[in-house]
Amino acid sequence: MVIIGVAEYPVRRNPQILIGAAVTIVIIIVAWYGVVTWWKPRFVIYTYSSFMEWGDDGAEVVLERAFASFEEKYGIDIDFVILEGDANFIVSRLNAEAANPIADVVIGIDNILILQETARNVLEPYTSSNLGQINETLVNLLDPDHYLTPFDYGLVTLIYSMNTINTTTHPQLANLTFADLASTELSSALVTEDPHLSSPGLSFLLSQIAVYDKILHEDWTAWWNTVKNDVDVEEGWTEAWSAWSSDPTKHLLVSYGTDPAYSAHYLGTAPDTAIAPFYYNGDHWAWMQVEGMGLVKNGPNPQLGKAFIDYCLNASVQQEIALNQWMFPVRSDLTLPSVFQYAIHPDEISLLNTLLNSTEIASNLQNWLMQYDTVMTPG
Amino acid sequence: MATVELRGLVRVFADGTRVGPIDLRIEDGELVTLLGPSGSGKTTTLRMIAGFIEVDQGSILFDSEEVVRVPTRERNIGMVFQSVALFPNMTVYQNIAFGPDMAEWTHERTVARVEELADLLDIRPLLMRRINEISGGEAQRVALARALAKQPELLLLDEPLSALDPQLRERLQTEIRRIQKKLGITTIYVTHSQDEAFAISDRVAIIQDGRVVQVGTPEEIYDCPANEFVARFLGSGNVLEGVVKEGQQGKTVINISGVEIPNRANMKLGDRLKLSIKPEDITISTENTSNSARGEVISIIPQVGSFKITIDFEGIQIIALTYDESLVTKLRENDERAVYFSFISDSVVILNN
Amino acid sequence: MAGYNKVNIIAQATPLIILGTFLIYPVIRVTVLGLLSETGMPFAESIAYNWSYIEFTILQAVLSTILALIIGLPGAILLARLKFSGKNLVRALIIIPFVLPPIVVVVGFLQMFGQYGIVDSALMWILQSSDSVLNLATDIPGIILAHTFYNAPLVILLVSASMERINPEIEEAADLLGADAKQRFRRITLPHIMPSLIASAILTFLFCFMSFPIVLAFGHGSYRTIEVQIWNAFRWADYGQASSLVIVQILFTLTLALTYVRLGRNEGERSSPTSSIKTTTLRSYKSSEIFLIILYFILMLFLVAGPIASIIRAAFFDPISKMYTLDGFLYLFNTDAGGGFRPLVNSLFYSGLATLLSVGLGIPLAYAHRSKTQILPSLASMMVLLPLGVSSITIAYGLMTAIAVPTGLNINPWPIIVLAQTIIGLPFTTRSIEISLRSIDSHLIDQSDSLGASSLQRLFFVELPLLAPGILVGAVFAFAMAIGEMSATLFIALPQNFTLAVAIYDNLGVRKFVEAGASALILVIVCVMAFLAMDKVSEGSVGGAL
Repeated sequence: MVIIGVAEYPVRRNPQILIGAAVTIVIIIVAWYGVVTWWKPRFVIYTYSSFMEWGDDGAEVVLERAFASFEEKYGIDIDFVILEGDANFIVSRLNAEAANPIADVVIGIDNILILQETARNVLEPYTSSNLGQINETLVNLLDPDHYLTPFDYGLVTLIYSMNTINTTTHPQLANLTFADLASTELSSALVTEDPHLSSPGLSFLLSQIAVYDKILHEDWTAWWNTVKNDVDVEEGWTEAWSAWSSDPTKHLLVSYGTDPAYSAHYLGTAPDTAIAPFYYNGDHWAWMQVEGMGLVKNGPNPQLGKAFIDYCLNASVQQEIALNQWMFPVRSDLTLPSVFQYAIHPDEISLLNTLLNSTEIASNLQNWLMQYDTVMTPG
Repeated sequence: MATVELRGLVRVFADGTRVGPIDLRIEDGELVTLLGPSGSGKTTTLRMIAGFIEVDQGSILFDSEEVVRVPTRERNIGMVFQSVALFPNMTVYQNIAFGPDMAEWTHERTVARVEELADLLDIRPLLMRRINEISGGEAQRVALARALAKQPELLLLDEPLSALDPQLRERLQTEIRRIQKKLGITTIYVTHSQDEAFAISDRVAIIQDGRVVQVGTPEEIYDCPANEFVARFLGSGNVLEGVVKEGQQGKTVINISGVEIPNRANMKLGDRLKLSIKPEDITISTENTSNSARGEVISIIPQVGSFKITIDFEGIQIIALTYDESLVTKLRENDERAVYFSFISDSVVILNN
Repeated sequence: MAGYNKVNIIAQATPLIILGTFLIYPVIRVTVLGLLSETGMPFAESIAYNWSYIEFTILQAVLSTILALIIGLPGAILLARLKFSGKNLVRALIIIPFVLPPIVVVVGFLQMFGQYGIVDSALMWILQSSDSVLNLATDIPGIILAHTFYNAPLVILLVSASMERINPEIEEAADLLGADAKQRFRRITLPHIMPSLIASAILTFLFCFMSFPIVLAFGHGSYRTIEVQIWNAFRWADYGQASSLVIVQILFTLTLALTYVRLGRNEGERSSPTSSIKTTTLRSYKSSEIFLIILYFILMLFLVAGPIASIIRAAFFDPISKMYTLDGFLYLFNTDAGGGFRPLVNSLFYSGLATLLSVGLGIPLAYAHRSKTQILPSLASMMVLLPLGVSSITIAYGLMTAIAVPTGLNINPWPIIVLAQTIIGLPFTTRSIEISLRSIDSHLIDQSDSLGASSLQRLFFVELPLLAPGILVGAVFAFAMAIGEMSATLFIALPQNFTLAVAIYDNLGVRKFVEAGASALILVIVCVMAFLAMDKVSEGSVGGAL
């Protein structure tokens, strides 16, 4: 028989130590989380994913450069919370947080979105003392009720890459109509954005409605019926851009009139991107998008929020917009970079916005989107 | 060590089944078996004593102390199940040491106790094995050692040997009894096997339909079953029906299928009653003698040292034992299979209804 | 003894209270408030507007279920009847699709069946075409094929398990009585496996009905299911519409889930171990049958193994530049704001925590299932089933509005993500633990009581060690569900909280295919490793969680 010593028998340990250790770890994690989250007072700005991101330096550097003096003056760190997706998603998040908002200012709600009740519900009207620096038409185009203060603006229009098509191969690009675009060749080369989820996509839809309803007096859904099987509707502008730039069969993109300027800046030569505004009744037309900033209703630091909106109209912020955001700054006294000669300027073009007034948009938008869905939903 | 007393113990199940009221007293160091068919309530009674199920009425006294409200783990009992229920995640040693560990004995004391029990049960070489590495018989020994390890005051055994083969079962019966006596531990044993109960117990309590119908030493019960159920359950008795009739000399007699015995029970004329007669008390013969009844042999089965003869008597089966080989030869040669049986009056037990 | 029970009931009620707070309350709150809210469509209008999407949801689920059954049934019969070496390995491997995140499957499908994918490239080469010939990873074919990929293995697993429980003597008896193979199948086998067929059909339908990432990725926003519409409605802040759809969805799914559970219970009670099923080797089949079997095997390789294997190619091959590159992996180790390192760490951290939480909740929930009290078991099983039937978006939105916003947690919402991931994986975790708990001999529990163990000691020394395999299976499912969870995370997360699953979706959107591929490959490796570890320890009792 094997003789076994007392020491060789296993000793049973009670679980108290284990439980104690687990409880301690949990307490440490919770405490650490609490400290990290609530240690310092925060000043939160909600914005969308490509905010100030398209410059040479990247968003981080630009924002630091633009807002350092503001942070210094008020002794805070500005927290730019970039929400995935477009401004719709920001509005949806603000709605979700309406009971206890963490953000003070939101940047990126545009002149269509603000017409929706869900957007106005989460904002507090504020008339900035610096509003005098801005062209009044912009203010009124965006929101005469001052829920929003203009931040930047641009024209939503079609762009194309001149390497693949141009006015020689496709003369209709010079004076493009929706009917031209409905040809299988062009419609299957077109990339646009989901009007439900993306502001340029919605701008494009409203452009089309404006043309058909107000200029041609035709049923606008017919056009979508013709193109629905060919056109590539991406979720948002970023997705659409990458589809257009990487897929060799996609030539046309619903984007901004400043894109040739970006192209020229990027290439350092003349741009390879051109724009194709719509042409009706002897005029070129485009949709003007004004992006605004708004004070979040019941935000934690309303005074700071107001100061921030005022500050954003200062030259130090506005002068960053052209080369990083690739939109026009709302201050008209700034000198635009030379590449902006390739961009199409709002005063060179007729605005489709003038055909659809804001009351009409507000009361019909849901209906239009539903009709759009009915046409576009397969089966 | 302890005495256990059950007073008016009742448990009513959701489906309306009722166990109890049960009254029973178990003396210090005694081994009492609860014997009864499955479903009679013996396991329920044991589980009430252990504290696994709640008691609806009555009390359980350990050494005159009420324990009904005391949780199982504080009742200081040891228990062995039919399914052995050894912890599969532990070694033999860890299983046995579980009780002492829970009672926070010192390591040295635990080891000493485990080794002592291992020697007593002859399982010392198994201590470091895992549970799936030992045999069924070994598992039962380990289970017993585990139940005894923390020196419980009461040992409860719930059909511990039912799953084992007959030979092993007999060997372990003897062993359990030896260890129980050696340790002098009060023990309650539950079984449905009469052989096992009689082999192991100081006293046996017969349970029928949730009640104790008879308590006594194995001899008492065997010789004198309290009612028809006990007699039939023990399988030892032939249960016959008798009628009180007018006999000779103006006395009443009990007529059992033509065999008459004196009316010991002082019953009234015309009363019907049940009687039990043990097989070995029945005399059989091929000749018709006085005070005997005629039946037909159904089967003759040789057993160790005797023959078991089953007789059909007016639709009732009667079992008789005989040692007489020549009688058996005669019975076998008899084509009519006729047989006459009788018994003496003293061997008849009158059963209560 | 009464006080003793009280402790038990409290221990079992705690997870119910937690689920009540973090699941029931938020979901009910968001639904009711949505219906009452002024903004958005009222119920009737929502249903009318969404009618075509509801129809499509049902249609695609029905088609996927039928295809999964058609493809799964022969596999089930083969797995039960064909004798071949490596059968246990096949049985283990067949569960792998379940532990793969849907967005990863999307990557695999794009690479295998998509434009310029493996199949397409092969066809282009054969037809000497310079244009894409066949793109199956899009629209309805993509959705249904991906659903079949997920669910055909489920059918195989459930049905073959049921087939193996047929007592072969019954078939032998039928054989003796003169039934030919076709009659035997129709009269004996089919009725026997019918409950498992129905169960797997219901489960498949349920999964397809709730499917989100696959529909989102292959539907391109035009093919929308109820789940996608709920997501959209929340994004448009149309709470009336969202709530109406949530109600429709819950009515559908809970009916199905309850039917499934009822079926599962009956099946469990009926089955008794019998002598083992008769299997035959391939050689005893006719050559035409062998041909069909091999064809079937190739089909499965193509449909199930193909997409998984092509994720490896997706991690290296850039379909835009048509070149092999390591950029995907460089991205994964890029610690910058847009890099993949942070999502990788987030994924592991969140899903690790969610796994711990799932197990911590799953154990008492499994206990509550067998509580002696009247309400606890049904309450527990209802609560555990709920995440199967409620869209993860709804759970996410409910958690955001009911928990995160009032407490201010939305400023750094990772605990909410962990909670959502936990809740979504909980049905699987609890079920596998509960199954394992059912197999514990109750005498062991009595025994430890009689030996003087306290409830805590009993739990640690007896019950938890015995439950270990079930807990491990549950943990791996919890981990797989958490690390693959995309929709709720996408909804709650700020960019600093992105997980790999979300990053894959993002990268696919902007056509960074190798980045998505490399991330998907990492997820596949992590999930498969967890799965293999579990399979080794639990010795193949993995299917139980389904």
